[in-house]
Amino acid sequence: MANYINMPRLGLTMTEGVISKWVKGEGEYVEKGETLAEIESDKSVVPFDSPESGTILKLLAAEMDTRDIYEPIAIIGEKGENIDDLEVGAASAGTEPGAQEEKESVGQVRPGGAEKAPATRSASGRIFASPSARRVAKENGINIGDVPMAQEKPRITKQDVLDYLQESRVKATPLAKKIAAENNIDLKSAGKAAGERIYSTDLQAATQVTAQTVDSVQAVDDEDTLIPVKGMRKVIATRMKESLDIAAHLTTVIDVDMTKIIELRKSVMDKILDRYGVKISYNDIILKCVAAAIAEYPRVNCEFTAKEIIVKKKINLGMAVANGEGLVVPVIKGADKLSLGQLASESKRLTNKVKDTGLAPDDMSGGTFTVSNMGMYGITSFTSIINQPESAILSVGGLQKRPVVIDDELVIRPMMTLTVSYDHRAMDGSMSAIFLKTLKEIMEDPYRIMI
Amino acid sequence: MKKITYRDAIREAMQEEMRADEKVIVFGEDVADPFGGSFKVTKGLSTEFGTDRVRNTPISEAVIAGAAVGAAIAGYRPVPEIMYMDFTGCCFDAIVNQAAKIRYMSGGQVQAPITFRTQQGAGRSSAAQHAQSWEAIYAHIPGLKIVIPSTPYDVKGLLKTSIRDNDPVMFIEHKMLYGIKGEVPEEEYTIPLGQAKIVKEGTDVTILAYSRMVQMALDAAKRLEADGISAEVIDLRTIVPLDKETIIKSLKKTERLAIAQEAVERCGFAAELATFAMEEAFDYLDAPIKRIAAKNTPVAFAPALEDFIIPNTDDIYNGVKSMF
Repeated sequence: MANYINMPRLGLTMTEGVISKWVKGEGEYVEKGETLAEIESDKSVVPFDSPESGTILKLLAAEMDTRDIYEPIAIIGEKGENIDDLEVGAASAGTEPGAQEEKESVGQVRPGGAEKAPATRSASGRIFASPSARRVAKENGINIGDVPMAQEKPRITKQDVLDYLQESRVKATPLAKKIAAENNIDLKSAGKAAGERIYSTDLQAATQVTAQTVDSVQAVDDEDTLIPVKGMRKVIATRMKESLDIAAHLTTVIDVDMTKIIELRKSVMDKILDRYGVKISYNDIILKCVAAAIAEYPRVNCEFTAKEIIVKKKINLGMAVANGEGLVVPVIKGADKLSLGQLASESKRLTNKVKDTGLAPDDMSGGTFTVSNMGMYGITSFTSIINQPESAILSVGGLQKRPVVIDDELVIRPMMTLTVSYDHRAMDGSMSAIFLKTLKEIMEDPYRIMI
Repeated sequence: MKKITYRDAIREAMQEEMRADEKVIVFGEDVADPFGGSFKVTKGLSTEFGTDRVRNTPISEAVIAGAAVGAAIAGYRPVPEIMYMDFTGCCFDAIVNQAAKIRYMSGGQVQAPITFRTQQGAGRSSAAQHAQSWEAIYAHIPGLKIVIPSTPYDVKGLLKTSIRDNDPVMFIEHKMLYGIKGEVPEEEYTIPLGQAKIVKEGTDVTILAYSRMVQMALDAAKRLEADGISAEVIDLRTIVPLDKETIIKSLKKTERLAIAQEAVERCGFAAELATFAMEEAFDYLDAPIKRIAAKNTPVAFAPALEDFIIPNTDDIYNGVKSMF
């Protein structure tokens, strides 16, 4: 029996993916579990293993095509099988906005809401829905069975149907919906053709942020190199701009005397190498100090929403890692609870994973504060863009011997400049300053982190 | 406007009707002055109208109700008082088989314009035989109208209408409401039977209540507002005839229904309300209908147990909350 293979959902926040590469082609046989394709989600490229064995009867998407999660991307079955009606189904799903919206809305992640799944069916195929819900579904010509419902509820209610209706009518990214909600923009007026997804960048005109048009068409020289804005590059571009649009970015700077940290690193380096098999870096020690500073002053470890600022208890540090033509931010979870050696070990593991298999989407989620280090390039200082939905990011410069004044005397010290970029909606300048002051005190007396 | 108690409002209604129509007569146990009734409702009436029109009876509900039927047939407009609803067991036949059916069985030749005034309910350790709520039992009998007001304004306007009504009315007061105060117009007014009152507007859930449960429902609704649940509270005021239109209109708006009754849950009036709502507005139910009612047990004497058995504001709040 021929079956669809659908775009998988590879992470909790994934809404669509790009088929980076087909590993198996039309007509080829694939075993269940064998890699079928490489899928690029908004965070990384991940191998997608075939959910069943069979022959690829038809590919429904080409390389570099974008498809929503759960949308069919291939047909698998027995060699020679007739797949006419499956092809028709897939084609109409691809062209008719109505059917397409239905399929895609099922499983679309609701911003900040409970996880939903297509309506649960008992063995007899019963759908549990309140009479109200059924009425509203009927009035709007939708099949009650297509309405997703939160797992812990006993039945689909009217609100579930209304939410589904709204989602299926207007396709927009979770971020676009958030911006629209916060700025009272009607998504339907975002000027997109029916059925086209609305991105937050499309709402710029409505939010009165002057947008620089990206599509200026200039003549391209033969000598120019063209880097396609697709996959990770595209996502970085969108996300960076979005973050600047959303947050009120400001920076605070402080210089730190690294003498004690240099000493600390020297004294524990061998032991950590012995015990954990990793060479501890300055960045690892800085991460640990940042975690300790946040534990002492958690105000900067927060998320801004229209209603409230959520000061997070968990300290999950994002660590910016350059990766060829892109940037990823793996997250070290519970950084305050890890020992120096454990943290060094974890950061090494994640950095290696970036290079080897690529990060899984869950490796990059849940961050509460990010640290970016460009010291290895000899950079004095720099600013970073806040990694949404966090409210602050620390930019770490390089270790440099500098002349400084101590007790009215000119001395030479190994110094490092730290810059915190913070969201002024979520915190005030003084708060960023207190944080940096706390961090500096810890870094200049790092044995404190042992307490 | 003047502020008077529920008990005073009842007395005023009787006074006004007795002044207007000499056929209106009152009798019951200890209703005449100087005692003026167990709940002091009829105080002053015998002094104003004389002991022919305001009589003390033997301690026999059968006499009270039977005499009322007889007097009604003879052309009077009796307002007999049954001291406790719990005692109507002793005159069930006179009410149910005589008063309720006389017009029907006589082909309209005889009528029984009786207003059986009584009171019910718990709240001060009156114990099992003095704290029951029996409106559902009488609602089940065709030929009887059931009026069950919750405020001074309602009790006065509805009693006047009930006395003027040419058919038997069970006029059910509540022992815990006699002392509550409320605004009442200086001038004369009546309230039609069969008309519910929306005492609080809302959008998320309809709470039906009557008698003592109305104020509790309003208090619960206030707490629910803080939780983001906008409750619409409807005081039914009359349960037979029922204001079906108001109920259905509200239900179609909110799509959730909760009913608060002080009576025992099993076979209480809430069951009738729930079924009727389901029949008339099935497609507008977004959640199962919730009944908040007394436990299926006699009412206890011990205050803590009485409090546990009889529904209160917390029970209504929790019950409605569970619907979301």
